Amino acid sequence: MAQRNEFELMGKVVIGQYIPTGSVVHRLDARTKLMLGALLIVVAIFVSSIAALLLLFVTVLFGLCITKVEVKLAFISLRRVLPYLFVLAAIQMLAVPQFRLDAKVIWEWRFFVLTDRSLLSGLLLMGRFVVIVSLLALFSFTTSTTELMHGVEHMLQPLQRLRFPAHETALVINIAIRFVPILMGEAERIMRAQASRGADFGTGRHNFIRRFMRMLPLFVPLFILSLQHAQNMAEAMESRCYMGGSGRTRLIQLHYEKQDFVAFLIGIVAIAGALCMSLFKVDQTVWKGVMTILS
Amino acid sequence: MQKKPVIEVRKLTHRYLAGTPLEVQSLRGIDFTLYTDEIVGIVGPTGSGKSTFLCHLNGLIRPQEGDVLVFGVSLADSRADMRMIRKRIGMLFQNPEQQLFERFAGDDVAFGPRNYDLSKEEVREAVRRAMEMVGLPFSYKDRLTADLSLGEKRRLALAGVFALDPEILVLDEPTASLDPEGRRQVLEVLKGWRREPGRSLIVVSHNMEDIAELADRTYLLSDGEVVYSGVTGKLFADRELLLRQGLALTVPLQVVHRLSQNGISLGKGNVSARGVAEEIGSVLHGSAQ
Amino acid sequence: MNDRIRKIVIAGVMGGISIFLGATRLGFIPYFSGASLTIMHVPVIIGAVLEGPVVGAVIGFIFGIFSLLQAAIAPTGPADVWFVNPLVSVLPRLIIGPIAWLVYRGLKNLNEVPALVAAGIAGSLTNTGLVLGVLGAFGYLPWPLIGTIAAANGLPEAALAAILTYAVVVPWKRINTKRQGSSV
Repeated sequence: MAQRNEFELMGKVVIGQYIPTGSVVHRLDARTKLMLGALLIVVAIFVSSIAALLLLFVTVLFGLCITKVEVKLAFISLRRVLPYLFVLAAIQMLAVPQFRLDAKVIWEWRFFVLTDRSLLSGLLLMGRFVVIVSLLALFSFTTSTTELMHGVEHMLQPLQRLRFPAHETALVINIAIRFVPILMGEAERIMRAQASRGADFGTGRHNFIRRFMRMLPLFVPLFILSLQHAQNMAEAMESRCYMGGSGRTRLIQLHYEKQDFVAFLIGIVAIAGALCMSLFKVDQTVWKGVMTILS
Repeated sequence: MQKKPVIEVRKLTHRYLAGTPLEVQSLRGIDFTLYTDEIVGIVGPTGSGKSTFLCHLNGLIRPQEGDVLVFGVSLADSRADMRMIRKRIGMLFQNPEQQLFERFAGDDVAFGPRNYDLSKEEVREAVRRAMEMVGLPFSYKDRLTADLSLGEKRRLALAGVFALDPEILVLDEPTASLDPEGRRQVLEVLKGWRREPGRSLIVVSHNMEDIAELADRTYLLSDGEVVYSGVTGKLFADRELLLRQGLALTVPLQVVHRLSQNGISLGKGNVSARGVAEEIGSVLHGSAQ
Repeated sequence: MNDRIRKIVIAGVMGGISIFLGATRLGFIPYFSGASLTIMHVPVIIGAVLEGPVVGAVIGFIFGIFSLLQAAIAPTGPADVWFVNPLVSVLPRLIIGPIAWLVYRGLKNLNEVPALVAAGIAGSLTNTGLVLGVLGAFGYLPWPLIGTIAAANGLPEAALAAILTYAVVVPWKRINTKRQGSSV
């Protein structure tokens, strides 16, 4: 289809699928999902234990299984990146000098050195990636953008008292997301109009600067149009007496339910377990065990 | 005198998102012809496929089924030289002032010619001619685009298309959002341009008055199909058809209809305001023709 | 009040543009075999120059979160593996806006046009520098390689950012430059 129609954009975008199946996870309060998600990501980044990552992954997998969504879908994107993942992990394991200080060398060839530290860090890279990707997949399957917006707004609400512009921030994100489809339509229109005058948008020139200049007839009108939209929006808001976020009441109220507490419990247990595994160097024990079995 | 067809569309069919569950049929076997030295109008309710059809005419969308022949060249052929086609068919979309991107007016008009590697003098000459054609003084070339009025910007965008000296002009809602003076100017420019031999014009519009004033023949599109094609006057005389398609009757036509309801028949099939006014005049003066 | 509303809306709109450029891949300008230069950070710079460091930081945040999400959900290249880490994708991007704004403010009184160009360059280099810096600190890449990438990618990207910032802000703010008329 790319060969037939030069300027169709709408088909090319992938931002993650909301697949409503009505499972328990779908019915969780958006705030629960946001908080747990963020916590899990943070923990995943900061633990330095493979066992911990494994535990986190199992938890996410469990979540995926109860969503009644085909678990395979979460890993489609993973499959595409697998080769890159291995290459990058390999680079980290073999070619980064930092991991060679006080570490035990496992394997060596020319200037590639695999130490126990670098092996660990390479595996951690892969592990973190897998955990975060599957977590975000779980999240995007079960949360629509509107839910997400409500959740973010609610959570930032208490900060309003500390003079943090919670409502304004949520509004900004809202505007940004809703603006994207508008931009797609505008971009398509602009490209068609310029192409009809002979523009070629930088296909096949040598100089990258020259190629970029050929795209300005698309980018400049797009930006200027957007700034104009922004001005109109601001005028409209002002004429409706928008006064900022303090003291605003809400149409939709979010409430925590039983399943939220269960989810929190599971999440906290998983995180605690992961942290413990990391702190108590479970990895080392397992490694030693494996080594003794092999020898 | 056999008129040459410059555009021939045969059984053009198009589906959006073909092959996906969201597939929508936008064009169903459209047949369309454009001859030299004529103005053809295309009307139809929103969603009838007019914009999709236009995009086929200069190859922005390639035919999925059926064929589009422009100057004898089939656009379904992947070897077709789209660059040359787009020079010979000038297309102006709705609200073209939104695509103006150069800071100075003259540069935007020059965008087309520069894309075709004309020399500096050729570009200057093309811009001057084009601006003259739309009634903008050449000195406007040094004005900031942002400072022009809506009507001036519209004409500037039109000049941008004229600058490539096309043989066919295709316009989508050329008078939308313009005040009566702006509209009058645009229509004058179009009629003046078309008077040169070897040129033809396609106008898509919701404004039935524009169609009545410009088009010799008109196509009525509905839900992706051609429902009527022929002399503009005959289409406008078919009041039921127009109403069924949700198209507005022009004021002159409403006058004609009311008069005929009251027993006064104007019968000459005129659709433009001037034509109807003349007919009324001759009836009032008692001269039967 | 007017000020506040305008800042909110500009932040939202520029954030939207950044997301749009990433989602449609239009923001990736092909460079050499496979590699590309991005302009997704330019809305951050433009927003900061027009409305200040806070707006710049917010747009940077949106840009960062989106690049994280895209890396995780629809990855397209090797670098996406790193961008899944918010310290790589979000943290550096928060700083682009404030730095661009500082540079712009600092030079504005001398001459507005070079101030814009400098802000574009500074913002872009901040993006390149900080992202690569975090990659180095985490040990994802060896430092010498980072240096090469910074030069090979970072400098051309800075040029593009400067061009685009100029091309958008000068007409929008009706800034007078030496050119008094068209080049026709």
